[in-house]
Amino acid sequence: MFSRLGSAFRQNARAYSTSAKAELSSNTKKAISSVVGITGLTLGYIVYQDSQTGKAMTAAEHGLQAPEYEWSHKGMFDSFDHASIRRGFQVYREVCSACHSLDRISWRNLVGVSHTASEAKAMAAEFEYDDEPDDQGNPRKRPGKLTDPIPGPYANEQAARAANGGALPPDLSLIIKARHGGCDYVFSLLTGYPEEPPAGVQLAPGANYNPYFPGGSIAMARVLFDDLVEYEDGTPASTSQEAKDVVTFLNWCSEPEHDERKKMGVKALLIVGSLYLLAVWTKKFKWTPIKHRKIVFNPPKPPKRR
Amino acid sequence: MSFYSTIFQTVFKRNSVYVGTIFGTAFVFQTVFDDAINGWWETRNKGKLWKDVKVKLAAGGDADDGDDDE
Amino acid sequence: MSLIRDFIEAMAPSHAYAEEAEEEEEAVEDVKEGDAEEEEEEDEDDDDDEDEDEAVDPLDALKEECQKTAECAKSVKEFQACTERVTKAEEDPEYANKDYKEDCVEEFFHLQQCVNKCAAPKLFSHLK
Repeated sequence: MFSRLGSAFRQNARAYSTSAKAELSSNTKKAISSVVGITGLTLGYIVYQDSQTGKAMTAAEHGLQAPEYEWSHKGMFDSFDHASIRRGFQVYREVCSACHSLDRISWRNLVGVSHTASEAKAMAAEFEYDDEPDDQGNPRKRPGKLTDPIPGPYANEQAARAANGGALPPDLSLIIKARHGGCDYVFSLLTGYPEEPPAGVQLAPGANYNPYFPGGSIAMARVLFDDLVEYEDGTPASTSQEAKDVVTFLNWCSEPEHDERKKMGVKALLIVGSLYLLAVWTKKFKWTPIKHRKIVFNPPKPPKRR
Repeated sequence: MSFYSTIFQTVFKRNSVYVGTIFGTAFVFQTVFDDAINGWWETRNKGKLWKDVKVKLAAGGDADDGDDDE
Repeated sequence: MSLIRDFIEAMAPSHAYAEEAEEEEEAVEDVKEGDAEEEEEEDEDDDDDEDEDEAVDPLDALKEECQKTAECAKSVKEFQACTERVTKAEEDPEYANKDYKEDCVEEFFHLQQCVNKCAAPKLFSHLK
């Protein structure tokens, strides 16, 4: 049955190809070439017309370029300032955590970085987490443990949007890696709210002006103010100090491997560097006799003619 | 006996000794190298590392959490 | 360049950070404050302390300082001129129907860029 079908198909195909071949020599050829020509011309015209108008972004749409700050962890061999991370966590906990979650960081991650184990345990225990259901299947709660993630302020995205006028406060775990300009950008954003927007700027209701935010209109209002938190180590809590600390903390959240990575980098540079030198030396050692040999061709003396 | 022949006699002559020397040297070198880099890293970043911060906390903060875990 | 500088600094870790000096300064300030308060009143010690600390955010102070420099004077002038121009235009009853409404974002950006360039490298030496 299949063979019959196949042969029918083959016949059909042959008929089609022959008919096409027959007609190609006539008007079809002209029709095809004219269609191609018209399509080409139309496309060319569209492209040309499109090139006549430029749609560049304005400076406001790009956002103000954040300046470079002298972060204490900026250099190639510089670790995080852990005192700053500790203060930054305090700022996150007292200010940012009202709206922003920190999903990828667990309490245990803070241990040995900014807090002692007992401090972290105490902070975790302040929150309630879902426990296994009891024998009747009723849900239970238990106090937090070190292994629990730091809880966010909202149950889900919809709740977060509903509470913030439709705007979703982004999760801060990877925010430094997730924004162009990293630390500098977030620091500038936090400290860059002007007293009032520049004249002529129209803002939607509920929006705030921040020059560093692309477009300039941001849902988050200025949150850091002088003496908003009280640091336990007595550091004066100016706005810029709070911003610096919280950005250092968020940078640690984004790159918890940072210190270890830089230390490993030193080791790698030293080892690989010396191996490179060793390789150069070995090459020279092996090649010296070959490079310095002298090949002398002593042709046999031609027989004397007499 | 010259220096090279001493080395040859002690290290290179028997394969077991040779391999053992390589393994031993690698082990010792790793420890020494790691310690050296660690020491340098800690002097370079003194005051910023957690162990320094922790000491300051224990000294400056109240004594209610003077624990030594981690 | 910074890489090489890092290397040199790394090899010779004798680099003295300004921390110690700052601490000394703070100590001196504390002493002064303490003296002043003792002379005046001893009732609201803590409150006074906080108020004095809060008085200036180093970033704001630096920005203000930078706006007065010669480089940024031009940007300040242009921004002020634009603000005046736009405010005047906004007072026009026909303003809502205008096709083109100017804003001062560009002037503001130029000013901020100038101020940032001047203030950003200095800021972190004033912070802990």
